[in-house]
Order: sequence, then C-alpha cells, then structure tokens
Amino acid sequence: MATVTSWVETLNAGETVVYPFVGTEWLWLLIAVVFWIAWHVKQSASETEENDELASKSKGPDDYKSNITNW
Amino acid sequence: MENELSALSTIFTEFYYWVTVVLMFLIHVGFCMYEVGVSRHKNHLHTLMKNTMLIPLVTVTWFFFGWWIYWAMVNGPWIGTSIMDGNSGLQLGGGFGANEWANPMSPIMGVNLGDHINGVFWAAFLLFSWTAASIVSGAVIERIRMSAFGILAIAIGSVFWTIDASWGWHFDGWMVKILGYHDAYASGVIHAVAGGFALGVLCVLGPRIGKFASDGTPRNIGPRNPWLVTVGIFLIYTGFWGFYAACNMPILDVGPEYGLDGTYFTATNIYATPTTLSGITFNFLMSLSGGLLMGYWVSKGDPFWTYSSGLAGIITASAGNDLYHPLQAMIIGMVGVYIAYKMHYWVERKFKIDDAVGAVAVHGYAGVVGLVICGFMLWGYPSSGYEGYAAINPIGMIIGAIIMFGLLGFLPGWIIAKVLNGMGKLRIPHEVELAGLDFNYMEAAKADEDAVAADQK
Repeated sequence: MATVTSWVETLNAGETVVYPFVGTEWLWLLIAVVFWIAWHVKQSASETEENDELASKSKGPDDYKSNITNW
Repeated sequence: MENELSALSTIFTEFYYWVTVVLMFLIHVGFCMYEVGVSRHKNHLHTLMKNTMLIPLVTVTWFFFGWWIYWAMVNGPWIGTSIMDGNSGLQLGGGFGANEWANPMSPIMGVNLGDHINGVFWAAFLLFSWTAASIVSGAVIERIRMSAFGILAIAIGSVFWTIDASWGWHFDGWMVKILGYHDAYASGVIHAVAGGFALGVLCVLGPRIGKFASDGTPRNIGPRNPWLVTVGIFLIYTGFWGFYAACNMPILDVGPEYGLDGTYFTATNIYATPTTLSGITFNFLMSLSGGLLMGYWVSKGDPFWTYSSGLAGIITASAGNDLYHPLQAMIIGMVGVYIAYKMHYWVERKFKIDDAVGAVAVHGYAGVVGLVICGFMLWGYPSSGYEGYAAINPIGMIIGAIIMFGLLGFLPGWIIAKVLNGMGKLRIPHEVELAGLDFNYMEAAKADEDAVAADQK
C-alpha cells in the first residue's frame, strides 16, 4: 500500500515519512541481518574449499608465471 | 523549512556533506590501486577483492549498529555526563545528537521530508569507516583469509573507531570534557586507532613467506607497479580534501550555542568550535608539503616512502590543523614523518613485523605523534565553547593517544586475530601463499586463452 497517494494531502498533513510500508522496518532489518550473517558463513566455507583445493595442487612460488595470459 | 534563508542553509549543508562523500570515495579507489600496486602479480585479484568487499560489509553494519554506537557511547557509558540531559549512561535520547537519530528502524534513517542531514552525515562518517578498515587491509595483504579480514574490517570500521569517535570526536564526548582531547581532523580517531589495530593483527598474523632471512634481516618484497602506487596515492590525497571538509560543520550560529550576545555564524570543527575552510586549506597543503619534503630526505628519495610521507605529514598535523599556523603545520608534518619512518624500520627489525604498505607507520605512529604534539602546541586552548570542559593539555592528549592506539586499536586487533588464529581462520595455508591467491583464476584464464587460440588455428 502506498504511503503517499496524493502529494497535496501528504504535504498539507505535514507527513514527512514517504517510503513504502512504513512500520515494517523491523522486518526489513531482520531479513538484512539474516542475509548478512549467512553471507559470512557461505563465504568462509567456499574460501576454505577453494584454499584446500589449491593447496592440494602443491604449486611452487613461480608456477603462476606459466599462467600469465598474453591477450 | 520555514523561509528561503533556512531552506538555503539546510540545502547547502546537505549538499556540502554529499560532496564530501563523493570526494572521499576517491580515497577508497586510491587504496585499492595502491594495494594492488604493492602486491605481487599472483595476488592482485585477491588483494583487490579484499579491499572492495569491505565496502558493503562495513556499510551494512554501519547501518545496523555503527551509527547507533557513535551516538550512544558519548558518556563512555558511565565515565562522563552528557551536557544535553545530565545522563551518564548510554545516550539514547536527549535532543540533537542523541541516539534516537541512529536507530536502524528510525523513520529518519530513510527518505524523510523533514530531515535533510542524517543520511549525508551518516555517509560522511561511513566513509571514515571505510578508510579505517582500508588502512588495516593494506598491512595484511598476500596472506590473510578474506573471511577473517571481513570480520576485522567490521570490527575496526563499525565498532572500535566508532567508539573512539563517540568518546573523542563528538561535541559531548567524555574525552573532550574530561581529558581536554582535541583531534579536529582525526590524527587519532581514524589514523592512530586503525594503525594500532593493524599492528595488533600483524603481531598474530606473522610475516609473508620470505620477508625475513634466516638471520632475521628484512627483505623488500617486489615486484611493484609504481604507476598504480602513484595514481593511488594521488587519489588518496584528493579524497583527503573531502575528508577534511567532512570533519567541519559548514555553517553554524555559535551565538546561542555559547550564550553570546547575538549571532555568530562560522564554520566549525566537529566540536562546534570555530575554524575556517580557508584556514585549514593552508594547513592541509603545508603539512602535505612538509611530509613530502621530509619523506624524500629521510628515505633518500625512495618514491614509495616519499608518497606515503605526504600522507603522514597531513595525518600528523591533523589533530590541530583547525588552529595551527601553516608553517607550524608544515614542521609538525615533517617531525611526524621522520619519527614514523624510523619507527617503521626499528619495529620491523626488532619484532619481525611485516607491514606490507607501511600502514602502521603512516597512520599509527604519525597519528600518535600528531596527538602528542597537539597537546603541547594547543596547551590551554578550550576544547569546547561549552562550559565545564577541560582545556587542551599534553597529559590529556597523551592519555588520548594511548586510548586510541592501544586500548581501542592494538588490543582489539590482537584479541580478535588471536581468536581467529586459534580457530585456524586467520591465515591462508602455506601452499596457497606459495602458489599465489590468484592461481586458480590465472590457470582458468590461461586455459581459456589456449582454447580460443586453438579454435583460431
């Protein structure tokens, strides 16, 4: 439901908060916090997986040079 | 807004802070370029991503709780007493400057036709937070896990620098009132705290493989990209203009604030004491120049240190650059650079600390030196226009420097790094460090190149 349906009525009434779904800020905050924590968990797990896979290749300090592209 | 004049003043202030945010964005661009320029080829992308991803991590946590902390902690809590309402606990109400502004569910934390300041002020402080985290980022390149850095970035960017800003960079902060702490352009509240935090992390993280010879002699790890370093530092210099402007309030009538007869419109620093944008422009450029001159001299023309020393010159003079004479700012910048440079190599040799970009020296040591010098140079100046505040003094500033660098910088950095290290989550595996963090990316890119080349035959 729109917070503002008429600018004339809103401004005359002295309403200042104009974003949609006023009063549900707690819900958006909850979703954002859950996603934030999940991001860290996921990122850490994928980093561990990637590191383990790279470590298992046992590459030397100069091996990357053979992978430098020329394009 | 009641009339054209108040509307003009409000919109000007809103636009002023907005411009500072845009300028300060360049600091982060500069940090990214600088770090990549210093890192080795096999770590470029990881280095870039690490510094880039601190942007969203610090931003969302700054929205969740960082801004709340800044406005809530001015009394310690239970150390000082608010001049707003006599409260000594968490400052959760009490008028302008109270924490009710900063609750992430507050209607002022969004598009609100009755408020033109909170968002741009929030963003200006947020860009300081990015800087604090980015200072740490440079010191730890090429061996830290990105997940560990993300946690450390949030800790310094959205928690610890925020607490110190609430204590010592707020018109109602207890350090200003009780200690006479003065830090107009953040020698301590950004630079010393971030440098101290970086040092705490480095003590646990350890040096890069090969940084020290078996007899303990330090080595310079290259190769580096001098052009990325050059452009990066110049962008940081450029963004620093926005940083300085953002530390000011552009227009304030201090007459009714201080009980003067009539009005007195002026620009002020964060403590609402008068200064001028013109005056601090003198001091910014003179302290930059003093830093560059001393950096070139003491490093015998080393480009890396000369560029960093320009920054360290500004950082040293920043605590008092709202009041110094330009020649004082220049000489103070020179002194800070000399001490920071000597301290960097002494600490490196003595404690085997591998600070890859000299961040602890440029930000930490220079920031501490700046606070101490400010205590002597501005000894006796009022720390505030409000009644009952301690005057600026050397003891208060030295204690302030210890709080910034040690209590809120080094100590939490060391503790969090210890915990992460204990969980095996701080440092990348030895084999990955040898191969290079970008090895898989590079290998995939080479395979693509070979495949395309094969199709073109």
